[in-house]
Amino acid sequence: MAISIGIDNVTRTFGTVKALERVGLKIEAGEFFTLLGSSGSGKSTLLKLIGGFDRPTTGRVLFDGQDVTDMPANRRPSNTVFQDLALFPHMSVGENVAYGLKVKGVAASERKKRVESTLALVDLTGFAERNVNLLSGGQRQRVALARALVMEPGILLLDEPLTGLDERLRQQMRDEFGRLHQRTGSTFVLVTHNQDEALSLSDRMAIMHKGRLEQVGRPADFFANPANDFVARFVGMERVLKPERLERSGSDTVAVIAGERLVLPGARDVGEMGLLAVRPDRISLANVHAAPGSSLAAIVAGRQFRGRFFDFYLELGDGQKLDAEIPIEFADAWPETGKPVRLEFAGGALVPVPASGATANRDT
Amino acid sequence: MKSPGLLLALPTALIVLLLGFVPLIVILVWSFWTWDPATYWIRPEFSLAGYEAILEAGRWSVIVGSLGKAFLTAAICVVIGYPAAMAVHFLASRRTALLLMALFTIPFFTSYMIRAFSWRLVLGRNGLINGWLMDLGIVDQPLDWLLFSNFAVNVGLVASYLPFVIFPLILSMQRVEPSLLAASQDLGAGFWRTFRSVLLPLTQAGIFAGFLFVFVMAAGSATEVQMLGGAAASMISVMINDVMRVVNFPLAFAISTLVLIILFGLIFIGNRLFKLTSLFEGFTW
Amino acid sequence: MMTNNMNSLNGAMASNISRRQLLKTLGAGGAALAGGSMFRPMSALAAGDLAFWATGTLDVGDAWSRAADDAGLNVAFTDNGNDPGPAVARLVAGNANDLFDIGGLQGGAEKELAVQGAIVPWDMSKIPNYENVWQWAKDIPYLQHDGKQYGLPAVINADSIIYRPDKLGKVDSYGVIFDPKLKGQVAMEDAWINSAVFAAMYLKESENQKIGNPGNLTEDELGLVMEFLIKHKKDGQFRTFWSGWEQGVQLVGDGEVLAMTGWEPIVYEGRKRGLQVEYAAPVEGYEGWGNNLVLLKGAVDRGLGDDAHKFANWLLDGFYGCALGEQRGYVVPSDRNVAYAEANASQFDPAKVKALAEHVKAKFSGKVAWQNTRPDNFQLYEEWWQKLRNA
Repeated sequence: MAISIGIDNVTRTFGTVKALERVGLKIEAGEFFTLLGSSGSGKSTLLKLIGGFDRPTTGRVLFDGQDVTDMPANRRPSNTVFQDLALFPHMSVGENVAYGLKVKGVAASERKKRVESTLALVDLTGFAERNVNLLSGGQRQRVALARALVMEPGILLLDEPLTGLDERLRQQMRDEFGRLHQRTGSTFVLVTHNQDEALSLSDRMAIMHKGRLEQVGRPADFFANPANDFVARFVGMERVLKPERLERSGSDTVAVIAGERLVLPGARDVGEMGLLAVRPDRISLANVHAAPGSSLAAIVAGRQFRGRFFDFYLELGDGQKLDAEIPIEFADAWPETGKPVRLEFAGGALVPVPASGATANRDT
Repeated sequence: MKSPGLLLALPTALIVLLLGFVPLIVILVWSFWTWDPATYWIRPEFSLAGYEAILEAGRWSVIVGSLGKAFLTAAICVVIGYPAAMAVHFLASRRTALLLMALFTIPFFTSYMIRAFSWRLVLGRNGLINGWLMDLGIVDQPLDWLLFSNFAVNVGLVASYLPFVIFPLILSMQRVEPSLLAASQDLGAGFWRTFRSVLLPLTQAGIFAGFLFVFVMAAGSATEVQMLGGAAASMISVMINDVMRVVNFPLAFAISTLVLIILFGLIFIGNRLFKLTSLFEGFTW
Repeated sequence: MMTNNMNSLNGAMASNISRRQLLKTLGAGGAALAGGSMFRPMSALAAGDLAFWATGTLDVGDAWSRAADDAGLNVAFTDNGNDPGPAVARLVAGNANDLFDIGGLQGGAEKELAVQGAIVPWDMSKIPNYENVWQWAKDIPYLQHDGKQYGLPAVINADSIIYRPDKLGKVDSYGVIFDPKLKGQVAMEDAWINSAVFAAMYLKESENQKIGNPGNLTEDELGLVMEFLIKHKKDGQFRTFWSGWEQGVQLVGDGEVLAMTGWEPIVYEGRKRGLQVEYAAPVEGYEGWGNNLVLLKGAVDRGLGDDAHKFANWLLDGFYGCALGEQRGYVVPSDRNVAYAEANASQFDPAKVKALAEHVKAKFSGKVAWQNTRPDNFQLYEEWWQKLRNA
């Protein structure tokens, strides 16, 4: 049965370093939840606390509302697929998968049945006698999955399990995770630094930074309403502009930038000191006569061919830089480097975001 | 020469050959020569007298007894050394680990003689242990068998060679990924189950290497049995020394050859069973 | 005999199977691999440079410089270990003759060494001081062979039993060592050179066994003596067998044994530690021993024969006897010690020198069996001792 996870105001310090700082989080039963962050963000520490391999300095960990903070890993209803897989090198594939059942005292005949059906589940039928040290990377990955899944865990923890696989295998295993999540119905918690993985698999995800949750939500929320410029950058909006100020005008936001006023229809209110995250695919180039109010003056600083589009490097009147992705069929008509142009912004091309550091560190 | 590496390794290989192999051949060949008691010289005439003499004067029983003592010592060292190595590897911080390793090593800066001798003061009739036992009222007469006995010899041997088992064990534990222990725990295993099913099998090369180090050194020891053993207690190397008092090289070498065959056999079988070489796989400085 | 040499075994092993030894023996075995490098470099030789290779007991440290002042001899002392067996082996089959000029060995091996050609006789006309050596010391068996003088007694003493009168009362027989009432409370030396002699003396004198010379047992006598020792070993009579000064002192000093055969200085050391310790004067007599100077053939070959004689004469001249007595309590058997002390009273106390001489003389006034490092059945002794060990 799937189990829900509660992280209640957890802090974990190592000496003077705060790996986690007052983190609060609720992961629903049966959810596929991803902790996304770069190394040192605290995501692996959080996973260890859930798995029972570490204890918080302060705060509690709850499974289905029960306090499990002091429960050791071997008694928790969670199982883990480790980053290095941690297959027992002195055991065959079958022995690896059977290990947890054996520890639990499951009878040999029952054990055999469950090992076989779990190996079938991960497409490794007939591999039971094989030497784990002689398998391919993908096969080892499946053994690690089978070893955890055979326990029918209420919570499956995946600690960067795709690191070290080539791109094709990553894609394949990613699909596999999705399929297995559907089949088992368990709560899946994935730790990764790869945003594609997070976006494609997660029901919900959290972006972590310096031991704090920067934003928690559904993948689409991170693009529509990034919690701050850090999140915006993390999900791929690498350019963030700093306007002179933002003003409200009815349900619209007006940005004052490089001496011009630009109306962002329907954009959210993030206060006067907010920033603007740029989506380069929603910017188009217009000639110098385009209407002020919905466009900005810029100079072409360069361009680069990117296959399906040209990447134009642009500079605003106040020196701030941004990119525009221009489909190739339009590119020839547009000016050379050094020429003035006007930039037209489609809906959502500039997303108002608060400056980072002002977030709540909680998902509610 | 195609490979410069091979060329570079050549002098080392020659040195190993000269230092290791040649003396062994000399020992083997001379063990079949003839010894002349009148001149103490040996003649290159084939003789099995050296090997026959092993069966005389109780020498055979000394060889068996020495190997038995060495076996017991090595086994005790493994049993004591394993938790010690675990403490160094798993529990201690890097600093404490260094300190612990130094503590294990420091006794080696004193001589074997002095260390063995100091056990006399601990185990003796009026020694430390008997003093405690009598103070606590556990015994009312000092225990004589604590010193000048096989017990004392084993205590001395274990104390002398314990570090030799600890270092290969630490080396083998370093080769066990911590995630394997975590994985075992994750799958429901407690400490003992993880110890028995994961750590122990994965460190068997270290256990065997440590066992072998201690076994070989204990089998070749003389000091401990001379200092702590009973009246005229013997050991292989004491016996060889006795034989060398009359410069009977063939007998001394026959004993050596026999012991070497037993040791090499042990290494060979051990390597088959425990994959000793795996301890050094991917070994880098 | 006493040497402060805990490493005797290791030293003997190392010297026995050293590379030089292997080469030498290999050469003797037929393959002439012996090169010039194994000999003492000739450049190091100068007139008056003498290498004295003797039991550590004979070392007088800085006092050797007096040999240079008195006789123009630069003496380099090297300890040959506590155990005469390996020393003899190195002289006969090893490289000792290449490295050393004069030996100082526990008495008994002279005949063997002479027969093997390792040592040569002294020319007594070149050692005038020999006249002053005590007559009974000159009478030690095995100093002479074939009518020639091979050994000169340099140090002489007699050993018996160290015991605790507070626990045992007065002890005057080796019987105490074999007394079942003292099971596990006695010890002997781990060497037949002493222990076989003590046992033979006891069996001869106190149990009326048919034994001729306790220092040179026949095959049958040896069997009797060794079976006797093996029986007692198996019965657990001996706490341990000891070797080396420290071990001997520890056994007595820490109360491990109440009686053991051994060296007199252990008594003094025991008293220093506040114990009541006595040295017995057994009815069976003392075991007398001499440490004798032998002239190595190599010295004569190198043209150092005259210097070696000068050295022997200097050793018996009195100063060395006084220095050794003062440093180690051992006695050179010559009246010249007292004469020297009397002439140099500011340097040595004549009364003390005299007292020491009288003390040793008194021991030799009764029965004495001489220690003999090379009895006729030497090989059998070695074999029997190994049987005892392995029993």
